[in-house]
Amino acid sequence: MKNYTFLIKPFFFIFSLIFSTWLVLAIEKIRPSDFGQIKTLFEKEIKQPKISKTDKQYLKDLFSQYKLGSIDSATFDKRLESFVISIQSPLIIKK
Amino acid sequence: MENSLNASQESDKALDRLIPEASNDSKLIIETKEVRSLDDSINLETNSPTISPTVQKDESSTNAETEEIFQLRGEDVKNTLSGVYFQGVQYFDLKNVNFINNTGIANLIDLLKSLLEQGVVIKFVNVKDKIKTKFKSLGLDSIFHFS
Amino acid sequence: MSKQFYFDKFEDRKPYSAITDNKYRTWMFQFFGIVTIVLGIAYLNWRWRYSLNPDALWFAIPLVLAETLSYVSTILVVFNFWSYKDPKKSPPVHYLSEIEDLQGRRDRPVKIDIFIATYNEDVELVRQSIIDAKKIIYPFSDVQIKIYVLDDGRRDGRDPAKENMKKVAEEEGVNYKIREHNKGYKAGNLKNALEHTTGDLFAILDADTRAFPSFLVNTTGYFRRDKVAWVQTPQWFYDTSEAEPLSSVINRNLKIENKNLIRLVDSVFGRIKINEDIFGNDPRLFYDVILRKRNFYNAAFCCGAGSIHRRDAIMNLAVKDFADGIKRLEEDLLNKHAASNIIEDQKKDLVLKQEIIPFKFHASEDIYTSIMLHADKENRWESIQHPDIECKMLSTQDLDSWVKQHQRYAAGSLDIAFKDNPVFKNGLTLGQKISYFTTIWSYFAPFWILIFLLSPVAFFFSLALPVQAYSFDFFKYFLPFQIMNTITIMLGCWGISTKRGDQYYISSFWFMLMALLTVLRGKEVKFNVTPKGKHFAKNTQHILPHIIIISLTLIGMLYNAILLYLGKHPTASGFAANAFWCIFNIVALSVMIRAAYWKPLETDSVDGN
Repeated sequence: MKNYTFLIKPFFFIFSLIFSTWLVLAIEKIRPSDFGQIKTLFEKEIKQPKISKTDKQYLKDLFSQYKLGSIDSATFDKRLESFVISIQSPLIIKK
Repeated sequence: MENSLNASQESDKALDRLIPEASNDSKLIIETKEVRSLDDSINLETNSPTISPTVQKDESSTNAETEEIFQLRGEDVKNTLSGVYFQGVQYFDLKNVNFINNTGIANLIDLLKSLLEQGVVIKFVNVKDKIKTKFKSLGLDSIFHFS
Repeated sequence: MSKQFYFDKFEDRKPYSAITDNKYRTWMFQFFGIVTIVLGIAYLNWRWRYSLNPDALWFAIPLVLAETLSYVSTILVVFNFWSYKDPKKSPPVHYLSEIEDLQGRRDRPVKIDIFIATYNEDVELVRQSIIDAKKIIYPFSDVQIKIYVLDDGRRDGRDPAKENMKKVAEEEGVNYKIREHNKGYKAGNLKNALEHTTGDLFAILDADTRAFPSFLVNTTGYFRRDKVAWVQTPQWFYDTSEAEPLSSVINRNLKIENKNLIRLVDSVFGRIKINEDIFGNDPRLFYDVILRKRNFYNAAFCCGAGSIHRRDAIMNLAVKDFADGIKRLEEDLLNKHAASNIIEDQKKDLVLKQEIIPFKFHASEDIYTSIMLHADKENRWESIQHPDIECKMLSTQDLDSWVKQHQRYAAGSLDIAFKDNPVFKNGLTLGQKISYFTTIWSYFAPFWILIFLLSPVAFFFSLALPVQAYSFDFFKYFLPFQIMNTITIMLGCWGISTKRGDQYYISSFWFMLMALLTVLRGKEVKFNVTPKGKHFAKNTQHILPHIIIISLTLIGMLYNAILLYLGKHPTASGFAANAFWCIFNIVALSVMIRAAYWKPLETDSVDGN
């Protein structure tokens, strides 16, 4: 019997692997991890897009231009979209 | 550094033994004796009775050491080979040497070095082709001189 | 009354018998090995391309890199363990003609020398080795066997403060050789011995190597193959620490004296045994598997003690090296001065400076010399790893010596890797190159082990995950690969417990890293004579990194447990997964801490000093 004691370790290891896998998957089911929103040491908090004064001015101008009819709805849409993209952080785009 | 010092002392002794003309050390008994293959590192043809000078250590030195000294690398080579010293060149006759193994070559290198230190050049004569080839294959042909 | 040593009580220990080769097991290993390699590719492909967490690349990339490097080791192990190929055993040799071509010489019985190299070991310990060497039997009485004590400590009685080694040699009736300097350490000592002896074969024993009577009978037969340059026998340490019931360790350390309490502890922990071979000194895995399987590639290297050599092979190397050395120096000169007459003048100095060096003057002289012999294209020397134990020796008994010994092995091998890498060595076969590369590669392990050890800590404090999700996908790739890997190793090391080996593989990371740095900094690797005795210093400096990592891990776990309790932990499953790895890490790291404070059982130990 003693000759086969060497088998204990590998089998224990394999058992642990399977058990921990099951455990992790079971926990995931009960309480899913919020991947992607984890606060890390390096990213203290998720940055809210900041809107500066010039941005606000740009928006105001855009709306007034549309109201006045100097640009059509298609151009307005396009500009608005590119503006939104330009101020968004990459984190939010992914979501 | 230490090593080379040591070697030079040894080679002093070696030279004395090797060149009977230059030596008048009373401790050395020079005798001629039929040479059997003393060591296989350099094998002499056994059939032909070769005469060569054999140097043995005096009995007065410790007896237990005699055999060991005899085994010293280099020693037996000098004892086994017949050589002539002439104008700064030590000639060795390898006429009867049919075989040399790597230990034997190492012995010859030691011999060469110990004599070179004294400013004596070694030349081998009557070297068999087989042995020349062996030296060549080891890349030693530029260090040893055959004629 | 002979002197008593701590290992006297182990005198009766019997060596293990070599693993019996089984072709079905070998096939199984090869099958599982290939499956592991393929699954590994699939796993790493998925890891690199799909799994990396883009929000924590600082963490994800090092980890996946470490996994990849570790995977390279896996491939190398499968290659190395591919198959046994034990050489055919033959009866011991009698005449010179049986081991080499006489080329017209007269035949004679072979001559065998046995060298016992010593430096500062207790002379009474060496005496035991001499006595055992004298007991070596040989079936032919006309075969001359001479024993030489090669004392590099110059203990010939000149220094009254030192023990007298010469006297012991004389008392035992064996030859005694010294030299006046220590140039080249052990290799230099052997060089000196080879200059003063004439044996066709010679055996190298260390001061503590106790040969069995069958030592020569079982090994000289291999030299019938005239290409065999050396035979290495396994090194077996007969003094590794004994297994101790956990209960007695607890009772001792907690100083429990209450009888009922002792009985209680006994009944709970009495069946669990710990501290067996606490230093992981048992080299069985190395000799019975790693090195023995290298016979398959003719790549088993020499490990010094317990080896038998063909003198002509080693001398051939020495002479060639001598000639090459002069040629190199000559070329250097030629590059400097164009005139050839200057070279002729200086040639004398070149020749005088150059030395005949049989074993390379190097901290790892045995492995380096092995590489050189294997790489000899003209002779194609063969090496043999003999499967059976033919001698026993002592292991290091305290952590400090242990670390120093292994650091020397590591630094020596790495030094070869940086200066004369066998991978680029002309003359080695592919199998030999890969085998030597495996040895070198294993010394780079601290890089990835360090990352594996630190990644749970990184997780606990940053709460960032290196993978995007603990999805079924992850386990679909990870689990089969790991399981197959474990089964492959189990089959490859069949019969040998790899528990301690694995633990030391991990816990060695620090001193191996230090060895690596020593070599990278270009410091000369010193040849430290491994102390064979006991020095119970507290070896805190060697285990400080272990204590730090374990503490950080435990603090991290505690912090995460609190977060979990407060419901603020973003990934409970991540905590579970990391905690699992941590337990394995901590167990592995703790072995070295235990070793640092380990002492033999006091009850029956005899003071060796």
